[in-house]
Amino acid sequence: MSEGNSQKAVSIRDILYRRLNIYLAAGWVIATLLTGAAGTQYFNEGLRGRVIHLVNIIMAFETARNQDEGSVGRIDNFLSDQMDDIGVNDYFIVVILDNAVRYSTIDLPSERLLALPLRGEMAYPSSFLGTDWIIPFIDWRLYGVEDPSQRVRVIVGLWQGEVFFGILTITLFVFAVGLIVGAISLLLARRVVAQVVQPLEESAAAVLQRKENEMSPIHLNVQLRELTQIEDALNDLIARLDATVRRERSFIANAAHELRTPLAAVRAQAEAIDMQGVTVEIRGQINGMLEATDRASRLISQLLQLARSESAVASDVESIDLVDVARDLISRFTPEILESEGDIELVAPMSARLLGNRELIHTLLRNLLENAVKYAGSPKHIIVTIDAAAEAGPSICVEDNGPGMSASDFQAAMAKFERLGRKSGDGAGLGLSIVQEIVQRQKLTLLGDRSRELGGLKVTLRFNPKSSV
Amino acid sequence: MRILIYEDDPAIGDAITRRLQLGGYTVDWVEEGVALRSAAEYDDFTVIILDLGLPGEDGLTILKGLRAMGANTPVLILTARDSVEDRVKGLDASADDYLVKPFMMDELLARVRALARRKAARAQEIVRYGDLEIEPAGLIVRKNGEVIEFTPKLFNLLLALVVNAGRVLTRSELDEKLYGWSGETESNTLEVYISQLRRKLGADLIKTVRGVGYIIPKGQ
Repeated sequence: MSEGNSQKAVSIRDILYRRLNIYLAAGWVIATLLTGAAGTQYFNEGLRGRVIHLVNIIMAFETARNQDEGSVGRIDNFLSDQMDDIGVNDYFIVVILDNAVRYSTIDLPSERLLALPLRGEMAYPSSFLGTDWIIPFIDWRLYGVEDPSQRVRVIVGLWQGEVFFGILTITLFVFAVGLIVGAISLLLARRVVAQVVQPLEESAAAVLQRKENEMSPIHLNVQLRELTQIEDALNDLIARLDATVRRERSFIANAAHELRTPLAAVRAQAEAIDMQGVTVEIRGQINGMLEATDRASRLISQLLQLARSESAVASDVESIDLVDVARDLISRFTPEILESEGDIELVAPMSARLLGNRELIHTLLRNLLENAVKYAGSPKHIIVTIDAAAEAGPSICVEDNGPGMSASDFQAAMAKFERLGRKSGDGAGLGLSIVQEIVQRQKLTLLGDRSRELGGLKVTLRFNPKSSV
Repeated sequence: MRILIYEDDPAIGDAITRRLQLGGYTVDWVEEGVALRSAAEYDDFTVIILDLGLPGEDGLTILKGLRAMGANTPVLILTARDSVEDRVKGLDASADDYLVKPFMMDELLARVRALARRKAARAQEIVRYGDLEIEPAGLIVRKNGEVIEFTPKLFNLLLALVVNAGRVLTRSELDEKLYGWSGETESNTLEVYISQLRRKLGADLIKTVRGVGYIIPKGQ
């Protein structure tokens, strides 16, 4: 369920990245456009004003002209200086006196020069690859004045390309600066996002790592107020869950305990009947009663084990010798096995220690043995092997001479237990399903196969070398 | 042999009483802690059967009280609780054995017999097991009335196994019985002693539980 949710949900990291990218890109485009537009406006304004001013000055000079030969050259030099100052190089000046070109800085036939209007535009021919190209936006713009009394006309042509390319340069510059600033901002933003998201991810990992029976408060180790609020809310929830679960389990445990006494009474009374004095039929009925109390007591015992294994506190661990526990349990089952003329054998090193909860380990081993004793053939033969040296972690293996099953049948049977839950009528299957339940919660490994030595079932339980039980 | 039963459930108390009487025991059944204490103080019982699930006074407190009074009668606890912790608690309160409800009557009788043997051994009285009679005081063993010679070590080993009949004694437990805490054990001496016992008493008496220890079946 949680996996499905995490697949569907959108990551904060992604949202922040996407939003930041969009906002930064939009800001950058708008800044570039505004700069371009404003630049154009101011550039044009400034240039036009100055050019008109210039044309008037030339006119003034021409009108009050000193007719000597050197005056034109002086004016040219002067004007060139002026134009250099305002930064416009691509321009031309034409001075027409008495309907004749007196001065021109552009290489055009004089008929065309004489036909130039005072206001307007003139195409800017560009020769490239043997053809004349007319390029839009970069024609000449003409500014002219005329003094009919003196028959003087002054026309200044200004190359629009200068303006166009000037603005283009500014815009590109803004664009480039925006790009660099944007990239740096994005890098910084990534860091900030990581700083925000990392504690979230660490917190999620910390919560995920918890075992199911861990009911202690979570410590997320973060100083962010939003997260400590989540931490508090989680801990509040855990505390309430813990209380509910405890209540339920203690109810189950108490109910099971309470059931044992009346069951013992039924059993004791049935067994106290003098079997010699009753008919065969009644004897059969009494045996039926005894079998029923057996089943009920096994079921109660397994319910209790389940309740206890579920409420086993993860922090309640100690160093436990598997060999000791196995010896103790084997001793308990030995009388029953000897009665069937069978035998049980323990193959184990001197000791096999691991960190764990005594109750859980006891329940695990007890159920493995109980299952083997129950299903072993007649006479019962059982071998218990403990391997403490394996790198994969200590393991305990229980083999019997019962009907047994293959590895795949075992897996299928385990899956069936899971589905059927606790419905098993005689409580027979419950033993292994309790083991399975603990195995899943404690992340251990449970394998079933056919015993080569005894022919029955061989169940191997492997403990995790890195984690306690 | 006299058995004292402390059980507040009439159905259980009645059934145990009848069954033990059928087995030839004299039975006193009390339902209150005060009655139990006075009975245990003034009379000599072979075994006390104590139900822990009693309301009011906690069975374990009563047991501790009995022990404090100096009563060393073997006590068999009947209880509905079977967790490792409960077991340890019971044995810590110096109960001698522990039986979880519901129990089989035969099992109860076997445990009572085992406790009776333990008490006899403690009191240096004759311990009986099947056709064996063991006299701790004189280190004498009789099988079908015939005296069989035993060295003290072999005798101790046999006595330990008989007194604990029905329970597996581990190698370390048996080594301890043989040598105390001195630690002067040799790896295969136990096997040698066991095979000597088998030669004297028959191969079937002592069963080997490989990897765990030895056991004499709980017997009749």
